[in-house]
Amino acid sequence: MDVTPLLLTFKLAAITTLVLMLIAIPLAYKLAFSSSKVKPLFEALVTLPMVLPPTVLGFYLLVAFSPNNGLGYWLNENLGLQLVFSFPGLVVASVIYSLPFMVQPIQSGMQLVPRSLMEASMVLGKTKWDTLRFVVLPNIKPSLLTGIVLAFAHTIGEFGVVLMIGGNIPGVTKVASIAIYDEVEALNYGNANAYSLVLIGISILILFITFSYRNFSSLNK
Amino acid sequence: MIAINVDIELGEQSAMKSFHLEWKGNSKQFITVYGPSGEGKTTFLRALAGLEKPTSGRIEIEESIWFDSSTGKDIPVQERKLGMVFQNHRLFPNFTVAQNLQFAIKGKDCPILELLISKFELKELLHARPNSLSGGQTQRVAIAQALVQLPKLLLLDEAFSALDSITRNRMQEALCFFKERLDLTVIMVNHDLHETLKLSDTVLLIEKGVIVKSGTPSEVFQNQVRKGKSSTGKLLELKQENGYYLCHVLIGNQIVQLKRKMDQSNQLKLGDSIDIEVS
Repeated sequence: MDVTPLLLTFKLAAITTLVLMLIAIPLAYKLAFSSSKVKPLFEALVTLPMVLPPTVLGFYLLVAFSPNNGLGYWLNENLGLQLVFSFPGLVVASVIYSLPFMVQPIQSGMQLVPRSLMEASMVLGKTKWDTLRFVVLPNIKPSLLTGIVLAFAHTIGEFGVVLMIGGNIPGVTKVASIAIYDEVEALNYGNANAYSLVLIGISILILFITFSYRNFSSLNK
Repeated sequence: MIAINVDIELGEQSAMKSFHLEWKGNSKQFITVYGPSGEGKTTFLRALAGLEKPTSGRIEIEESIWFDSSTGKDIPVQERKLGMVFQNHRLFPNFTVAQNLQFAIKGKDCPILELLISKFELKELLHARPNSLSGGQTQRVAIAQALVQLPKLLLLDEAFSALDSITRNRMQEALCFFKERLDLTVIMVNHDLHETLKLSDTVLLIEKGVIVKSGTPSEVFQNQVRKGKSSTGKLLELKQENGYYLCHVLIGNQIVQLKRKMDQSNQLKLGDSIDIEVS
């Protein structure tokens, strides 16, 4: 069994999760405490990847990132960045696809933080950033962990979007889920089984650690 | 000098929706905001703190304009340099008591930290987590936390409500000590008449979202019941003293103090209606 697709999968999941943390935490903070009338529109847009068939999302990302079209052309011409059939393209697509899986638990956790705690922090002269860092995030650790784990696990399991935007280039875009599909197509059930068992084992391990931590946190409250 | 003249509209979910709060007076004094529940006392504090944005008006504290709708000025809450203890105040649950105090310190350290710990009797609590504290202990830490940042204005929303009477007296003394030491203006929402009379230099009486009366406690609570006129009021407080009952009765905006014989008052309870006629 070639381990490259597995390594590529975990590399993709790790980078996607890190990028998502930078985007999802401020986005969830904004959505949790905004009273803007356009907030439901933003919430709908963030949640959209959760309900759309992955192939639909993959198709439009493929069109958008294509060097022949506006955004893809601009990225290619100005930044020399080609997102179609490349690893950076997979990261961008994965970030968009897994965004709601990280934003939603974090947003829900933030909404449970008592408003009075945040007001108390502001009265003490703390900035919004300090309040997020020292008051909000430390009090939503289980939600934060759930968001991180869900995004990581969801990226490991991606298939449709990855296939549409990345294709099947060994060592570049051929992740474990594509490799399983490939092996089944070639009737190599043994290899497909090996890849699948690794993914199942890793998924169970991640979820076990998450739930153990959540139970430990709730017992120590 | 403190000058506030603001109109505030609250959301649909609030019992009272509009407030007009207007008052001008000296700073560096102990001001009590008194009045029935839900009529604007907390909103008054929140407007001063910058947590409630007035629809129009102006707030000026010691020659510094904090809010002025005509110029669009609205100093953010973080920059108003005040301390505030909320009703049902919550400490930061991820910190110990010591860390809660440390978090509030502006700059490297606070010159009165040890004094605050001693006066508010916090030494034994420093390593405790907020969820292990009683309501009274939480209020003591909350007041110390508000003072540790050395504010010039301290806003207290029923900050002693969870304290027993003995501790309450000690905390009143501690508060008065720091008021003098830090040259503070203290504005406190209070329902306790004795405490209001004891601590206040000025009382603001709020009813239905409007400051209806202000002045010294004796001016605000003076007996305006005229001779020969009978009135009915509600019993606010009943205290046994040297063979008689000392009653505080609310008639309109005035609190009347009267003595009643023991045998006349045995059945009385707080909130009862009492008829008074001054001969």
